[in-house]
Amino acid sequence: MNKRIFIGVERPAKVPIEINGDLTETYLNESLATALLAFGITVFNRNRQGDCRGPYCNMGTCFECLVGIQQSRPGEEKTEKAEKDERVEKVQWVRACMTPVTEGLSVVVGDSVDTLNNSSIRGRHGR
Amino acid sequence: MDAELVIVGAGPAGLAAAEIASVHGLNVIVLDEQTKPGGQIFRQPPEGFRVHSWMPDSIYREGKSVLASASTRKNIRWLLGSTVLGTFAAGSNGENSNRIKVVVDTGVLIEEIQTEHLIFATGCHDMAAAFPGWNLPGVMATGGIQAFVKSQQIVPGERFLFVGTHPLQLIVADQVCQAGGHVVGVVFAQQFKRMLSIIRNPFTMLRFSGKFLFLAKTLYRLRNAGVPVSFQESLVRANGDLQVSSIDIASISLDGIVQKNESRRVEADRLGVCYNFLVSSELARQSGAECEWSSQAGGWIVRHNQWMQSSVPGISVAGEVTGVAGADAALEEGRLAALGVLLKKGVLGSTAAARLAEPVRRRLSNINAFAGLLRELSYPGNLLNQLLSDETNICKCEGITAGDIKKALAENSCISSGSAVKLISRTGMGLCQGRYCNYPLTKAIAEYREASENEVGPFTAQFPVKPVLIKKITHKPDEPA
Ligand SMILES: Cc1cc2nc3c(=O)[nH]c(=O)nc-3n(C[C@H](O)[C@H](O)[C@H](O)COP(=O)(O)OP(=O)(O)OC[C@H]3O[C@@H](n4cnc5c(N)ncnc54)[C@H](O)[C@@H]3O)c2cc1C
Ligand code: FES
Repeated sequence: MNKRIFIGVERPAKVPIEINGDLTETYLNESLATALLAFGITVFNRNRQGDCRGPYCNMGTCFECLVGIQQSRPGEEKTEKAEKDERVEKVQWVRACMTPVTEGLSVVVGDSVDTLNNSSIRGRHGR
Repeated sequence: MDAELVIVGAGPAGLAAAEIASVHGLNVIVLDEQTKPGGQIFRQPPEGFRVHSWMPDSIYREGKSVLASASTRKNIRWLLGSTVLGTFAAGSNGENSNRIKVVVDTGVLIEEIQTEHLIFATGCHDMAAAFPGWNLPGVMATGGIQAFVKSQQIVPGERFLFVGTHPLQLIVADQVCQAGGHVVGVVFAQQFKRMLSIIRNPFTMLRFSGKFLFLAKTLYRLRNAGVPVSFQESLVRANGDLQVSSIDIASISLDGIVQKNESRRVEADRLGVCYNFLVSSELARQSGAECEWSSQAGGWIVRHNQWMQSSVPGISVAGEVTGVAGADAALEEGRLAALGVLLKKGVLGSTAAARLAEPVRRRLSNINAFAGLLRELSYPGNLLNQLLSDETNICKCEGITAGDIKKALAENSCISSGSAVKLISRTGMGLCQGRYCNYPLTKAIAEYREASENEVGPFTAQFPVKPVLIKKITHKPDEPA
């Protein structure tokens, strides 16, 4: 398992985030990649070839750590279907290693998520 | 937005340049993709974290003091969490003719900064070795594992194995152990004898005693922790279903051949790969700066003169991007680049600039002697070629294999440039924009066509140098984002 270091380390307060629709909490400002690893998630996405991928460089270069995020807007009432549609539509692919955790972040991640086929992020020459 | 000097990269090179320029009164903007300054060696813990003993060893003292002093200077403006996408000439005539437009993704918006002087201190990244299984989750660049430990304060795995040629893997293995991780081995491809041969004369040892002492201490701690360090071995493949679970390791014969048929299996859920570094010269290349090939110093390194000025007027370079040489060299090159800008702007006269540059150059030439040894020591040579099978991805983003490349070269006898092979095979067209495959591809084409790497040439670097949401680029300032 991936373990946070606690001896000699002080962290900010925990904030709520959502991972694949499940509410949980993690430390403000740590990278999203760190939060996911700490929850035991190693597969961050499936790429267009269908292969499982996870962080490689941890410095923003490789784009292997892509996950989908969507800022949840608390207080907004929605039907389950509308919520799901919005999730698919409004998902933005970000590098988990370069994205600090903020309150209310909602993440779509894992080998069951067909991430890059719906990708809104593209290389210059992306198909 | 405007600045007298814009620096891209807040690592040792960018920080040292910013410090000198700001001391001499220039208004400086420093941009970095990371949320805190420090670069790769000094990747700081996130905002709001307090780490009581952070990178305490004495070899980090100078770099940390430059980081601390630059961080407090009033005339440095920090644009962090901001990715530079490219540069353009600001105008073709009149008063704008010397100005450069820097296009930045601040995370929310695309912004433009104008300046007459720009320093690219964009550093380097780990070289990826392509071998069967290298794309499995759990296989990581060793520097990336280190950043989880030293910056994010997490031990990203249970059982760690480190394989490669670069001594950095000893340092990272030690850091993982100290943080409570279990390191099952550190594997070097070199013969132990060859490692020792760089210390061929006692003067080398004496001259760089601080570095050797640090490495010796590291080795001592690893021994005490019971970590096996082996030599003359290579990885063959990483195995696993959804993520890596074991790694096959084989010995290397005296004539350098990996004995793939006689491998041993090591169980680990985190594999660190550490064969050297590749320079991040895309931004300099997009801006038109001339590069040249160096197999040992990180691929397409940026050409520069004695004041670190590139072939493009107004654009200087410093640090790893001129050839991988480590943090100490980066600091000195940053200082030189800043002195060059001050000279060009007329803030310093030529005598004053030369006087200030003299001790910097002296230190730099000493450091470069060590860097040369380290490069020679850690250069994997043709080892990585042996790890490829025809089914191995060269381009991890588009899933283009070594076999696909061979086929493309065989079927298109007239093409021999990196960019042409990219167009035909799609290698390098994915999200990382060729940052990992350009190096092995350049070498493969050169070998296949019996040409020099400089004849093959780099992939053309285009705007934006990192992928960005199209809607951000097309967004008009008066519309909501
Ligand atoms: C992952 C990793 C770990 C390392 N760890 C060590 C170590 O422990 N000890 C050691 O001695 N050496 C280490 N090194 C070697 C390292 O290259 C040097 O020590 C040193 O950091 C080089 O300084 P620099 O200023 O040239 O580049 P860097 O320190 O790499 O700084 C370059 C900066 O430029 C930024 N940047 C690049 N492109 C852009 C862009 N387009 N837009 C905005 N910002 C950009 C990057 O985010 C980065 O912060 C490591 C290297 C890597 C890649
Ligand atoms: S792990 Fe490489 S970009 Fe995040």
